[in-house]
Amino acid sequence: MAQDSSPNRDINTVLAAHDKELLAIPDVVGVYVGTIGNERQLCLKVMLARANPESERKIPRMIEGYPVVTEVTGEIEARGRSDSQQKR
Amino acid sequence: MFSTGRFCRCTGKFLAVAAFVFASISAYANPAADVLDETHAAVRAVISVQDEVTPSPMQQPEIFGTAVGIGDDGNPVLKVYVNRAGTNVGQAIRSLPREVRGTPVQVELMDEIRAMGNTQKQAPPIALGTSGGWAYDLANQYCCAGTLGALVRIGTAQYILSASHVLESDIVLGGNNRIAQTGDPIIQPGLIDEQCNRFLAQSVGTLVKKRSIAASNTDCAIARVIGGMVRTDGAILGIGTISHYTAAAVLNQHVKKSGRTTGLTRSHVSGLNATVNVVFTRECHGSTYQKTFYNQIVVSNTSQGFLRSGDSGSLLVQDVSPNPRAIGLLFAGNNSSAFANPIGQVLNFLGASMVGK
Repeated sequence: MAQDSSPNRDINTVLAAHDKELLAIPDVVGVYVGTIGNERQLCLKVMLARANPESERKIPRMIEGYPVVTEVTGEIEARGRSDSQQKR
Repeated sequence: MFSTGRFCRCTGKFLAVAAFVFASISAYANPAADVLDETHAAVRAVISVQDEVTPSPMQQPEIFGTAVGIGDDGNPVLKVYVNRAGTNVGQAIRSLPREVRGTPVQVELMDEIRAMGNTQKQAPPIALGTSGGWAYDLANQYCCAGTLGALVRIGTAQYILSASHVLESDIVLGGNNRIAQTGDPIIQPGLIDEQCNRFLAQSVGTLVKKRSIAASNTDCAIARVIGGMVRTDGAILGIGTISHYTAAAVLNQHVKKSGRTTGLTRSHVSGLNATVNVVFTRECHGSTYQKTFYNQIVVSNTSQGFLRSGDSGSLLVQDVSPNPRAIGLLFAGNNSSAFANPIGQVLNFLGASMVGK
């Protein structure tokens, strides 16, 4: 992954160019465009299913001039199937 | 205006609010100094006033309840909770005294107080944002449910909009020898809220199978409305009617939704253009599979305060009133974020438009 210091491309284009590489890292479950600091600076956020130092080392801190922030979020699950055990 | 009288129907709500305020008082007070609990003389004085005067104002529909609170000067006051969306809010506030026997009265505007979740069986025509699902969503000794989110139109016909994994939830014969099919009944409330017994629920629509998870970048599904069973204006519990226009998500935008498990909740858009791997089950309590979605909306879901299991199918809308615009269809989440399909993608896939004003 390229790690330039200043952005030349729109962050959505950068995400589209790198999301598959990031998702190929073990325990990475998602990547999105978010904000940091004063909530005005755009960044790429990478979600991890669980803390995994080896995976975190593989995730660059910058991609094409945009900061990358890693979050341990857990798996992303469909949220429509709250279930209850049937009474017998 | 203030007088003793019969205790009103809102007693339970009032007690819940009062308990919350007492907890707040205890949390903020310095326990080593002057603890403002129910034994404190100043608190007891306000409670005495509260007991005396509460029944009368609560006969007004705009007033939710009263409680002992803390004024700006740190002393106990009588708080009166008023519905910010009430039709006669100004008149209700003007009818309240500024003090009663030396106890200051403070008005606090708030949203309607309701039990968490929209799980109750409604009298038809039902409002949306409510518990519902596939009538046969029972397998492996478990039953499942989600949210009937909103109303859409295709041509002149109206359809309930929800998530595919709610309405078309069963995609393998598996534990119940059944797969969701077009024409299957869609019920309100969902099985989970009727002891897994579909005969205790009511049919409000019939499934029109779309297979969106396999065929698109969305998790959406529709059920054709059974005449008279769903409000034709598409009103959503706690939100009311929405706009027939839609809006794109914007970072930090304030949003809300109304769903089966957590009811009406508010949050903000924390991310855009998400690529996410989402885990689904093939039937209720069944085996799992994963699908990657692109260009999804991310909503802050700290401690699952915005979205929980059972809320999928909820419509994500602008946090404005009246008639907010639809932004997305909520379908997935974890402990920190919730995820929604952009509503434009959903409507394009279905060839539908929102029903609204």
